Amino acid sequence: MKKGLLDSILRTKVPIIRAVEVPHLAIAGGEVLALVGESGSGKTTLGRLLVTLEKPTSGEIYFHGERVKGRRAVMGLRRKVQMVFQNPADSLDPRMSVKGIVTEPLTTKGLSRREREGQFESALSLVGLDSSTFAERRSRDLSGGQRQRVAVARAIISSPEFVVLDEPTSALDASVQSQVLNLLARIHDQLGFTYLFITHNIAIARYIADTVAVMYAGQIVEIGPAQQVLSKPKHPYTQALFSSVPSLDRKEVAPPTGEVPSLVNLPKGCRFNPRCPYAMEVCRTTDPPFFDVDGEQAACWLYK
Amino acid sequence: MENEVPLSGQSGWRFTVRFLVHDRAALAGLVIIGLFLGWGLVEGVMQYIASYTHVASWGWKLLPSDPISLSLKNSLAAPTLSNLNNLFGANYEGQSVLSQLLYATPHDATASVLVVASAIAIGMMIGIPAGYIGGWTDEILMRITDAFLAFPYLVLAIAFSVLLGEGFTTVLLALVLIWWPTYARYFRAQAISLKNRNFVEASKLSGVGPLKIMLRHIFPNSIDPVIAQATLDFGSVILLYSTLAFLGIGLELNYPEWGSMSSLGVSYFPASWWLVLVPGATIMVIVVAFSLIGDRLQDLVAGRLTY
Repeated sequence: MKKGLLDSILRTKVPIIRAVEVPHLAIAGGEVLALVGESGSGKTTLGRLLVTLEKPTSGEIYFHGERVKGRRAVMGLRRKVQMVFQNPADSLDPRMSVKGIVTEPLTTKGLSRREREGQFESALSLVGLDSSTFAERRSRDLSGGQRQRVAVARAIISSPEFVVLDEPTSALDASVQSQVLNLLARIHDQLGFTYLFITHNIAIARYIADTVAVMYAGQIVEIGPAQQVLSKPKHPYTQALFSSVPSLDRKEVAPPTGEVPSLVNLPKGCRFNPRCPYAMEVCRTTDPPFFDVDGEQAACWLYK
Repeated sequence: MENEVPLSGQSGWRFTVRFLVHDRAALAGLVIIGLFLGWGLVEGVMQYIASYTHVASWGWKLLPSDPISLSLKNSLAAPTLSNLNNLFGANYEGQSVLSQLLYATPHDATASVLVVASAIAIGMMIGIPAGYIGGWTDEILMRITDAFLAFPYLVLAIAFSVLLGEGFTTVLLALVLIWWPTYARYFRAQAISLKNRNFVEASKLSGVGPLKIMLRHIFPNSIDPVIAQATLDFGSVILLYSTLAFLGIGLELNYPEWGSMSSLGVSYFPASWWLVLVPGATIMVIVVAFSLIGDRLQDLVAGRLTY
């Protein structure tokens, strides 16, 4: 939290919120990594950190093996990353036309008008919108699904290498969700961007992801190949999370008991220990590192 | 193609104009302001010709009579419907109040438009960077703004007028100096609420620099509430301008001006009541007309009304 002028004069202690603490996370080029977790687990903050919308308090971000530090590196990275936001109504400037919004990433690249027009048309056709119909429309003239398509078109028009998709379908109607999801999968197949797909919907993660990372209270607790993590979750939190998904062959739905801890006042040791059915002595004292289990990694003392 | 119904969010100029025309109070305001500014322009052009050709009578070619020279036969004539020249009566020097009112219109119109426009421009240049960049920039810019806001504005205006000497330009400058901090605060608040919106973050990620973001996204999206405030301020500027003239600051006293007219008329009150009440009522009508439009515009901006 930022200290105000008054706070620094009065020497008020501003509580530190540990929103995200991730020891290490690597995303391979061309891969789709799904970040799943409850609301408030820090998924979005982690995504925003990776595209430089938030500054890390400590730690480093590398892109293609080069450290992103200082204004130049940040501006350089920004030309290669894009983000699609959760709420499409907020992510389009209400004053600008669809064409202005979608071609904005090209304005920094010194292209001619014609080249911009051409790229606009192909970006819009990629997201399944007719460029001549939509070019002059404003955000208010579009439906939720159309808005999200426009946001996706803006994200892909400059051929970024890395796209963060922050729950891109959760604000949409169910019928539109699948359309947008298919569209994102198709674009990935065609253009081969690297995706970080933030979602709380496990079915979506199963559909789109190569790798799944599970977050709890600002930490990644489990990461591994999608099939592996989704079919045989290792971390007790992941198990509890997945068992809360209603299913036909399972009668009982058992959501994890208790609540996500406050990020200002985290429990000692493993962050999940107060809610964990397998909690041991060591869990209450020491934060677990990652252990390799069956080709994936879980931060849990059970797998020591 | 999906067939969802787009969210209804009506805005835009066409809608605003249609809205104002359909609302009777706002329409009345529009008509009065239209007449005020229209006449201000016409009479302003006439006075410009007069000063350009050095033939002073051009300045009152369209008026019932000469508003400046004496005509003692007409001294303190009461208002009458039978004589257009004396519709609103005449003052001690026999000058027609109607002619003087009309003659002074360009000054009041210019003052309100120029002052509000410059105050918005300065407020924008201070407020938007303060809000968008934040940190020390914000701290420094806003403390300067606060210093201006801390003075009672009438006192500030008088101080400036005295400091800069008499004259129309001086009064305008003083009024701008009083008014810009309010707009700086408006723009700053808007910039702060806009800078964390996703569409601004999206253009940051597109590599767009801060200056362009401020011009392309922050400014166009923050102008609506400012325009609503500005319509209210047009009236307030005229009021304060007249107050200053009433107190004898600004134009030379023999030059007719709404505020100074009622100021001079005070000595003849209540016997010759029209000398105070007619200019006063004129100021009031204009101020109310601006407020009618401004109120409606604010309702519209706040989303309290949909037509």
